[in-house]
Amino acid sequence: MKRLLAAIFGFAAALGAVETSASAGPILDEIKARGKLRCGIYDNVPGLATLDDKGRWQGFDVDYCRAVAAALFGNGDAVEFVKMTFAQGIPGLKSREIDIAALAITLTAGRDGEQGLDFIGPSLYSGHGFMVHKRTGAKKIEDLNGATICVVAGTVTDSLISDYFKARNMTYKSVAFENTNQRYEYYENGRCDVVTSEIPFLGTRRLRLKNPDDHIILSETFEKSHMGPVLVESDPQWSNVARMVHYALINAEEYGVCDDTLAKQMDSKDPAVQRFIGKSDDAIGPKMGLAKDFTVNIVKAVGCYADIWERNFGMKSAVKLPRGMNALPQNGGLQWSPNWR
Amino acid sequence: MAIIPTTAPVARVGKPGARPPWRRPWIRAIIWQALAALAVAALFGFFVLNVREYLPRAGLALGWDFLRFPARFDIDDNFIGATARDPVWIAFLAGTTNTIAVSIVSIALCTLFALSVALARLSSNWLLSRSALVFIETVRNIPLLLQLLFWYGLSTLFPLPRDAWQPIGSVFVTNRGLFHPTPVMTRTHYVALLVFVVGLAALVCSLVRARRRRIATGVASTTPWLILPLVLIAPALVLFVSGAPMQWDAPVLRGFNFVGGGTISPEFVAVAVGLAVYQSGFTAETIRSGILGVKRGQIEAARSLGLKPSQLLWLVVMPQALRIVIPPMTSQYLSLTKSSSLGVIVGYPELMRVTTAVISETGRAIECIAIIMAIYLSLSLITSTLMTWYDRRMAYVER
Repeated sequence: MKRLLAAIFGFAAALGAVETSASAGPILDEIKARGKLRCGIYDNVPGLATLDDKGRWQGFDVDYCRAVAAALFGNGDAVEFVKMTFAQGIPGLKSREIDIAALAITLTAGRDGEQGLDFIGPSLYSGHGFMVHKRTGAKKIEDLNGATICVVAGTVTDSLISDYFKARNMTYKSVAFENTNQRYEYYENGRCDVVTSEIPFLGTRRLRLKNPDDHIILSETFEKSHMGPVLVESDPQWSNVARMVHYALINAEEYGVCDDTLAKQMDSKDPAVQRFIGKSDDAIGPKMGLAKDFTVNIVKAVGCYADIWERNFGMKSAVKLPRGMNALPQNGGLQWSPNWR
Repeated sequence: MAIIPTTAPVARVGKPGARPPWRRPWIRAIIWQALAALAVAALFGFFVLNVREYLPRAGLALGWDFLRFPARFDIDDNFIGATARDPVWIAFLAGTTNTIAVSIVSIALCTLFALSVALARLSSNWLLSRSALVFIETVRNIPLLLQLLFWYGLSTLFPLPRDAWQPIGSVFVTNRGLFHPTPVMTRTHYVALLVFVVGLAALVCSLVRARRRRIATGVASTTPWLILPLVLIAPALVLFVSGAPMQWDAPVLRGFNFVGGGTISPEFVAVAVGLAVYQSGFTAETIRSGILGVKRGQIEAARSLGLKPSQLLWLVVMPQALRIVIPPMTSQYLSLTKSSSLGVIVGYPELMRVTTAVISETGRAIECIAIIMAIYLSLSLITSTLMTWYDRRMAYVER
């Protein structure tokens, strides 16, 4: 019912919003005029978006929103966080209720191609994994034949899992919930044998279960899932800015311009670093309508990509996941950025 | 004495031509009707034009092609056997049948609960009446969503499949639902079933005829008593003669879960019971008001005729109470049906669950919302048509 209302209001908002934005032009102008970025995030999903004890949003998705706000306004707090469920994200984007859906939405050819969406990144490379109750004795994916699996309605797992099991002549029963937190709750109390999601999320979730040791995450993954912030594909300038923020985060790591090294690098004599932090005449920012030192603002707000990773999934977080596919290419990972010139 | 011109008004009525056409009631009625129809059409046209004008600008195009593509998600526990390979419209159909099934079961349960609670509330037994009051106030004042989560939460108290509780035969109760054997149907079984249905129909017909005859002539008929045993014996005879044994497909624990037989999922039970209990609080009060609305003289008259309390209730009070109760109950049944859309919260695969999946799969939010609006509207109209028909039947017949 809530979602129905949201969709109806979204529809109404779409009719209203388009009327004004049609004359005002691109989305980027609208956001700048508003002075605030509207970012769709999850409500309390560990690792992605949670409130800390000081009432401040923390998480991987939250950091991406702050990075974009810092690039646009020089202030990482110029964000209005809009709490959403997965299913509300794409309608919310299209109705212009939000500017970015930072809901770890999986990049699929259909979503990018047919639905008029633009994916940034992927900011998070991953695969789908299974977490099972240890008492089931399942060790491999083949052991899951006949299992009951908790999923979230409408997510990519909802449809992937059906293909995967069918291709292997395996059966399963799915119970689809609307809310991702509920799915773990009912998995934990035994309604399902298995819960499936992207590996980093399973890791963070496992720690929040009553007895993390009673659950194992199977080492096999069954499908790729590369996720990122999503925009509507109607303003190339806006897409450009959002994409460049992602690249800047990775480039900052490459150049060693992170939380703890920013002060030192501000005086760097390296022309590449100088260009990156906007100290040279050929800085990238102004050509895209951003400040010369927008990269510095990003790092001041959230650090570099490594900082975001470590804080939310890496060694400084509770899950302590290795970087894996999300390392820089020189370290064997996939997180690349173009040459900064 | 002056003559009072009593003829003047009569003359005005008798010569309608004296009034200008727009003052005539029937012309005015037509004008207002036309204006209202025009306003509705204009409003509708405004929305249609708006959508056609602005949707393309927002990068959204309307289209119904997506209904033919495979749904790609599985709907567990559906009545028509839809799978992920079936087109989206089949998925909608599966969601709709699930919504209808849970609503029908829930309406039946609700009526049962509500009637018992209403009678308890009216009972002269202090404890019974107060308990009913507490029940009504509790279920009416706790949000439905919480109640659904409560009932669903109860399912987790049941054991895992491997420690299943086996109350009788091959029936297993687990936190995954209730697993029960289903009969294996062969052609002979279907024939026997058909014979049974025909017998049942004959019994109902003869009962109706016997009743009419008794009312008309006061003579009780014995035909129904002759047909009654036939209803059971004839199908049994078919099975016996054909020699077809009754086989059962019993659930067996294999791996994670029970395989075979039928399943009643905890989601279904949670939604059906949750909706029924919540709505029964309101319905019980409606029934109570209907019973209290029956004129006191009717009850006193029935008592003085020497009717037993049960006869008093079912022959005098209830038929009259029903007339008062049916219209408000219709709207309560409608609201119950619509509330079943909360089922997605506890994982019941009803219409909203399908819609959610289809919207994120295809991005067709407007089309999907239009579809579910149309479906819920149809369900509501069907329910209210049925209730209106029943209301007419129950109304006083003027003789």
